[in-house]
Amino acid sequence: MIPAPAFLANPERFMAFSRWAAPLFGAVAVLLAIGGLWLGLTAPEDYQQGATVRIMFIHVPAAIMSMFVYACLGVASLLALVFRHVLADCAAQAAAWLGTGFTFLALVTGSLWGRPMWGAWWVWDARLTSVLVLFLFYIAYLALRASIDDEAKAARAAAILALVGLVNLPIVHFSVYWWNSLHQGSTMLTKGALAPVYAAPLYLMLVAYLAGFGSLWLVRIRGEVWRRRAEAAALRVARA
Amino acid sequence: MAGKYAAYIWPAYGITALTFAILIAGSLAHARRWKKRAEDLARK
Repeated sequence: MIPAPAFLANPERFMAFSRWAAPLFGAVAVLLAIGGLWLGLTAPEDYQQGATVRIMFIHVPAAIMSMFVYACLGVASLLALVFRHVLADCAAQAAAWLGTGFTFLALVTGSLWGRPMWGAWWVWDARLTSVLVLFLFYIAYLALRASIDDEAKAARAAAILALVGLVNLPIVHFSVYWWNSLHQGSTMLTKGALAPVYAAPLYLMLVAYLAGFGSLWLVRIRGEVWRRRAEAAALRVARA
Repeated sequence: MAGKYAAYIWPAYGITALTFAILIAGSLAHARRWKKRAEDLARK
Protein backbone atom coordinates (compact mmCIF):
# COMPACT_ATOMS: atom_id res chain seq x y z
CA MET A 1 0.00 0.00 0.00
CA ILE A 2 1.32 3.46 -0.92
CA PRO A 3 1.39 5.88 2.08
CA ALA A 4 -0.97 8.84 1.59
CA PRO A 5 1.67 11.64 1.48
CA ALA A 6 3.78 9.74 -1.06
CA PHE A 7 0.67 8.99 -3.11
CA LEU A 8 -0.33 12.67 -3.12
CA ALA A 9 3.21 13.87 -3.87
CA ASN A 10 2.60 13.11 -7.53
CA PRO A 11 0.85 16.20 -9.03
CA GLU A 12 -1.27 14.16 -11.46
CA ARG A 13 -2.46 11.84 -8.69
CA PHE A 14 -3.07 14.83 -6.43
CA MET A 15 -5.17 16.58 -9.07
CA ALA A 16 -7.22 13.40 -9.66
CA PHE A 17 -7.72 12.90 -5.90
CA SER A 18 -8.54 16.52 -5.07
CA ARG A 19 -11.04 16.74 -7.94
CA TRP A 20 -13.52 14.58 -6.00
CA ALA A 21 -12.20 15.00 -2.46
CA ALA A 22 -12.56 18.82 -2.33
CA PRO A 23 -16.34 18.87 -3.03
CA LEU A 24 -16.84 15.85 -0.75
CA PHE A 25 -15.09 17.55 2.19
CA GLY A 26 -17.03 20.73 1.41
CA ALA A 27 -20.36 18.89 1.54
CA VAL A 28 -19.38 17.22 4.85
CA ALA A 29 -18.41 20.63 6.25
CA VAL A 30 -21.76 22.19 5.28
CA LEU A 31 -23.80 19.32 6.77
CA LEU A 32 -21.82 19.32 10.03
CA ALA A 33 -21.98 23.13 10.27
CA ILE A 34 -25.78 23.05 9.85
CA GLY A 35 -26.02 20.48 12.67
CA GLY A 36 -23.54 22.34 14.86
CA LEU A 37 -25.22 25.71 14.36
CA TRP A 38 -28.65 24.24 15.07
CA LEU A 39 -27.48 22.64 18.32
CA GLY A 40 -25.39 25.69 19.26
CA LEU A 41 -28.09 28.28 18.70
CA THR A 42 -30.73 26.23 20.52
CA ALA A 43 -28.47 25.29 23.47
CA PRO A 44 -29.53 26.69 26.87
CA GLU A 45 -27.75 29.77 28.16
CA ASP A 46 -24.72 29.12 30.36
CA TYR A 47 -25.15 30.01 34.06
CA GLN A 48 -22.05 32.25 33.97
CA GLN A 49 -21.62 33.34 30.35
CA GLY A 50 -25.31 33.63 29.52
CA ALA A 51 -26.03 33.68 25.78
CA THR A 52 -22.43 34.59 24.92
CA VAL A 53 -21.64 30.88 25.22
CA ARG A 54 -22.89 30.71 21.61
CA ILE A 55 -19.79 32.64 20.51
CA MET A 56 -17.70 29.71 21.81
CA PHE A 57 -19.09 27.43 19.08
CA ILE A 58 -17.46 29.57 16.38
CA HIS A 59 -14.53 30.97 18.39
CA VAL A 60 -12.96 27.79 19.81
CA PRO A 61 -12.88 25.88 16.46
CA ALA A 62 -11.36 28.96 14.77
CA ALA A 63 -8.68 29.19 17.48
CA ILE A 64 -7.84 25.47 17.21
CA MET A 65 -7.76 25.69 13.41
CA SER A 66 -5.45 28.71 13.50
CA MET A 67 -2.84 26.51 15.24
CA PHE A 68 -3.57 23.35 13.26
CA VAL A 69 -3.27 25.19 9.93
CA TYR A 70 0.02 26.72 11.03
CA ALA A 71 1.30 23.22 11.88
CA CYS A 72 0.27 22.15 8.34
CA LEU A 73 2.09 25.22 6.97
CA GLY A 74 5.19 24.26 8.98
CA VAL A 75 5.22 20.62 7.80
CA ALA A 76 4.61 21.64 4.17
CA SER A 77 7.37 24.27 4.42
CA LEU A 78 9.80 21.71 5.83
CA LEU A 79 9.03 19.28 2.99
CA ALA A 80 9.36 22.09 0.45
CA LEU A 81 12.67 23.20 1.93
CA VAL A 82 14.24 19.75 2.33
CA PHE A 83 12.89 17.95 -0.77
CA ARG A 84 12.21 21.06 -2.92
CA HIS A 85 8.84 19.55 -3.68
CA VAL A 86 6.60 21.87 -5.70
CA LEU A 87 3.34 20.47 -4.31
CA ALA A 88 4.56 20.94 -0.74
CA ASP A 89 5.33 24.56 -1.55
CA CYS A 90 1.86 24.97 -3.10
CA ALA A 91 0.37 23.41 0.06
CA ALA A 92 2.30 25.81 2.30
CA GLN A 93 1.22 28.85 0.29
CA ALA A 94 -2.41 27.69 0.29
CA ALA A 95 -2.38 26.98 4.04
CA ALA A 96 -1.02 30.45 4.84
CA TRP A 97 -3.91 32.17 3.13
CA LEU A 98 -6.53 30.03 4.91
CA GLY A 99 -4.73 30.18 8.27
CA THR A 100 -4.81 33.97 8.16
CA GLY A 101 -8.61 33.76 7.87
CA PHE A 102 -8.98 31.34 10.80
CA THR A 103 -6.65 33.37 13.03
CA PHE A 104 -8.49 36.59 12.15
CA LEU A 105 -11.75 34.88 13.16
CA ALA A 106 -10.25 33.62 16.44
CA LEU A 107 -9.11 37.15 17.33
CA VAL A 108 -12.32 38.95 16.32
CA THR A 109 -14.81 36.47 17.81
CA GLY A 110 -12.67 36.27 20.97
CA SER A 111 -12.79 40.04 21.24
CA LEU A 112 -16.58 40.04 20.79
CA TRP A 113 -16.82 37.50 23.63
CA GLY A 114 -14.29 39.30 25.82
CA ARG A 115 -16.07 42.65 25.81
CA PRO A 116 -19.23 41.49 27.66
CA MET A 117 -17.42 38.86 29.80
CA TRP A 118 -14.15 40.59 30.73
CA GLY A 119 -15.25 44.17 30.14
CA ALA A 120 -12.52 44.73 27.55
CA TRP A 121 -12.21 44.23 23.79
CA TRP A 122 -8.54 43.39 24.18
CA VAL A 123 -6.04 42.71 26.97
CA TRP A 124 -2.31 42.10 26.55
CA ASP A 125 -2.76 38.64 27.99
CA ALA A 126 -0.25 35.87 27.11
CA ARG A 127 -2.79 33.83 25.10
CA LEU A 128 -4.21 36.79 23.18
CA THR A 129 -0.78 38.24 22.48
CA SER A 130 0.67 34.93 21.28
CA VAL A 131 -2.32 34.45 18.93
CA LEU A 132 -1.74 37.99 17.62
CA VAL A 133 1.91 37.00 17.00
CA LEU A 134 0.62 33.91 15.14
CA PHE A 135 -1.55 36.19 12.97
CA LEU A 136 1.49 38.41 12.27
CA PHE A 137 3.52 35.34 11.23
CA TYR A 138 0.82 34.46 8.69
CA ILE A 139 0.79 38.03 7.37
CA ALA A 140 4.61 38.13 7.26
CA TYR A 141 4.67 34.81 5.36
CA LEU A 142 2.25 36.12 2.71
CA ALA A 143 4.00 39.49 2.50
CA LEU A 144 7.44 37.86 2.12
CA ARG A 145 6.21 35.62 -0.69
CA ALA A 146 4.61 38.56 -2.46
CA SER A 147 7.71 40.73 -2.13
CA ILE A 148 10.17 38.39 -3.91
CA ASP A 149 9.75 37.91 -7.67
CA ASP A 150 11.87 34.78 -7.93
CA GLU A 151 9.48 31.93 -7.03
CA ALA A 152 12.23 29.60 -5.73
CA LYS A 153 13.83 32.28 -3.56
CA ALA A 154 10.42 33.39 -2.25
CA ALA A 155 9.52 29.80 -1.39
CA ARG A 156 12.82 29.24 0.46
CA ALA A 157 12.65 32.49 2.44
CA ALA A 158 8.99 32.00 3.34
CA ALA A 159 9.59 28.37 4.37
CA ILE A 160 12.36 29.44 6.77
CA LEU A 161 10.07 32.10 8.22
CA ALA A 162 7.28 29.53 8.62
CA LEU A 163 9.63 27.15 10.46
CA VAL A 164 10.75 29.95 12.81
CA GLY A 165 7.09 30.67 13.53
CA LEU A 166 6.53 27.06 14.66
CA VAL A 167 8.21 28.04 17.95
CA ASN A 168 5.13 30.14 18.68
CA LEU A 169 2.71 27.18 18.58
CA PRO A 170 3.60 25.65 21.98
CA ILE A 171 3.68 29.20 23.39
CA VAL A 172 0.08 29.75 22.21
CA HIS A 173 -1.06 26.40 23.62
CA PHE A 174 0.73 26.51 26.98
CA SER A 175 0.49 30.28 27.55
CA VAL A 176 -2.54 29.81 29.82
CA TYR A 177 -0.50 27.44 32.04
CA TRP A 178 2.89 29.18 31.93
CA TRP A 179 1.64 32.64 32.84
CA ASN A 180 -1.18 34.12 34.89
CA SER A 181 -3.78 34.48 32.22
CA LEU A 182 -7.23 35.98 32.01
CA HIS A 183 -7.99 33.46 29.30
CA GLN A 184 -9.37 30.14 30.52
CA GLY A 185 -7.43 26.89 30.14
CA SER A 186 -8.20 24.17 27.63
CA THR A 187 -11.75 22.96 28.22
CA MET A 188 -11.90 20.54 25.32
CA LEU A 189 -8.91 18.49 26.55
CA THR A 190 -10.21 18.27 30.13
CA LYS A 191 -12.50 15.31 30.68
CA GLY A 192 -15.93 16.28 32.00
CA ALA A 193 -15.21 20.03 31.86
CA LEU A 194 -17.86 20.59 29.23
CA ALA A 195 -21.54 19.67 29.57
CA PRO A 196 -22.74 17.44 26.69
CA VAL A 197 -25.23 20.11 25.64
CA TYR A 198 -22.26 22.38 24.80
CA ALA A 199 -19.77 19.68 23.85
CA ALA A 200 -21.94 18.33 21.00
CA PRO A 201 -22.20 21.60 19.00
CA LEU A 202 -18.58 22.48 19.78
CA TYR A 203 -17.19 19.18 18.45
CA LEU A 204 -19.53 19.26 15.45
CA MET A 205 -18.36 22.77 14.56
CA LEU A 206 -14.73 21.77 15.06
CA VAL A 207 -15.06 18.86 12.61
CA ALA A 208 -17.01 21.15 10.24
CA TYR A 209 -14.16 23.70 10.31
CA LEU A 210 -11.66 20.88 9.79
CA ALA A 211 -13.56 19.50 6.79
CA GLY A 212 -14.04 23.03 5.44
CA PHE A 213 -10.32 23.65 5.70
CA GLY A 214 -9.61 20.33 3.99
CA SER A 215 -11.86 21.28 1.10
CA LEU A 216 -10.55 24.84 0.69
CA TRP A 217 -6.95 23.70 1.09
CA LEU A 218 -7.33 21.24 -1.77
CA VAL A 219 -9.06 23.88 -3.94
CA ARG A 220 -6.36 26.43 -3.18
CA ILE A 221 -3.52 23.94 -3.89
CA ARG A 222 -5.22 23.06 -7.20
CA GLY A 223 -5.27 26.78 -8.02
CA GLU A 224 -1.56 27.04 -7.24
CA VAL A 225 -0.79 24.04 -9.46
CA TRP A 226 -2.78 25.64 -12.30
CA ARG A 227 -1.02 28.96 -11.73
CA ARG A 228 2.42 27.38 -12.02
CA ARG A 229 1.34 25.41 -15.10
CA ALA A 230 0.00 28.63 -16.65
CA GLU A 231 3.24 30.48 -15.94
CA ALA A 232 5.32 27.62 -17.39
CA ALA A 233 3.08 27.58 -20.48
CA ALA A 234 3.33 31.37 -20.84
CA LEU A 235 7.13 31.04 -20.79
CA ARG A 236 7.00 28.34 -23.48
CA VAL A 237 4.73 30.50 -25.66
CA ALA A 238 7.00 33.53 -25.20
CA ARG A 239 10.08 31.50 -26.21
CA ALA A 240 8.39 29.97 -29.27
CA MET B 1 -32.47 34.37 21.16
CA ALA B 2 -29.37 36.27 22.27
CA GLY B 3 -31.00 38.72 24.73
CA LYS B 4 -28.84 41.55 26.02
CA TYR B 5 -25.74 40.06 24.37
CA ALA B 6 -27.20 40.15 20.85
CA ALA B 7 -24.94 43.09 19.93
CA TYR B 8 -21.91 40.79 20.44
CA ILE B 9 -23.25 37.42 19.30
CA TRP B 10 -24.72 38.33 15.91
CA PRO B 11 -21.71 40.37 14.74
CA ALA B 12 -19.50 37.40 15.71
CA TYR B 13 -21.62 35.08 13.54
CA GLY B 14 -21.88 37.69 10.77
CA ILE B 15 -18.11 38.25 10.61
CA THR B 16 -17.55 34.47 10.63
CA ALA B 17 -19.99 34.00 7.74
CA LEU B 18 -18.41 36.87 5.80
CA THR B 19 -14.86 35.56 6.36
CA PHE B 20 -15.86 32.09 5.19
CA ALA B 21 -17.60 33.60 2.16
CA ILE B 22 -14.37 35.44 1.27
CA LEU B 23 -12.25 32.30 1.81
CA ILE B 24 -14.58 30.16 -0.31
CA ALA B 25 -15.11 32.70 -3.11
CA GLY B 26 -11.41 33.64 -3.15
CA SER B 27 -10.24 30.02 -3.33
CA LEU B 28 -12.71 29.06 -6.07
CA ALA B 29 -12.01 32.20 -8.12
CA HIS B 30 -8.23 31.67 -7.79
CA ALA B 31 -8.49 28.05 -8.98
CA ARG B 32 -10.88 28.85 -11.84
CA ARG B 33 -8.87 31.84 -13.08
CA TRP B 34 -5.59 29.94 -13.28
CA LYS B 35 -7.16 26.79 -14.67
CA LYS B 36 -8.68 28.81 -17.53
CA ARG B 37 -5.41 30.66 -18.12
CA ALA B 38 -3.41 27.39 -18.18
CA GLU B 39 -5.89 25.78 -20.58
CA ASP B 40 -5.88 28.83 -22.88
CA LEU B 41 -2.08 28.85 -23.02
CA ALA B 42 -1.92 25.08 -23.58
CA ARG B 43 -4.04 25.51 -26.73
CA LYS B 44 -1.59 28.03 -28.23
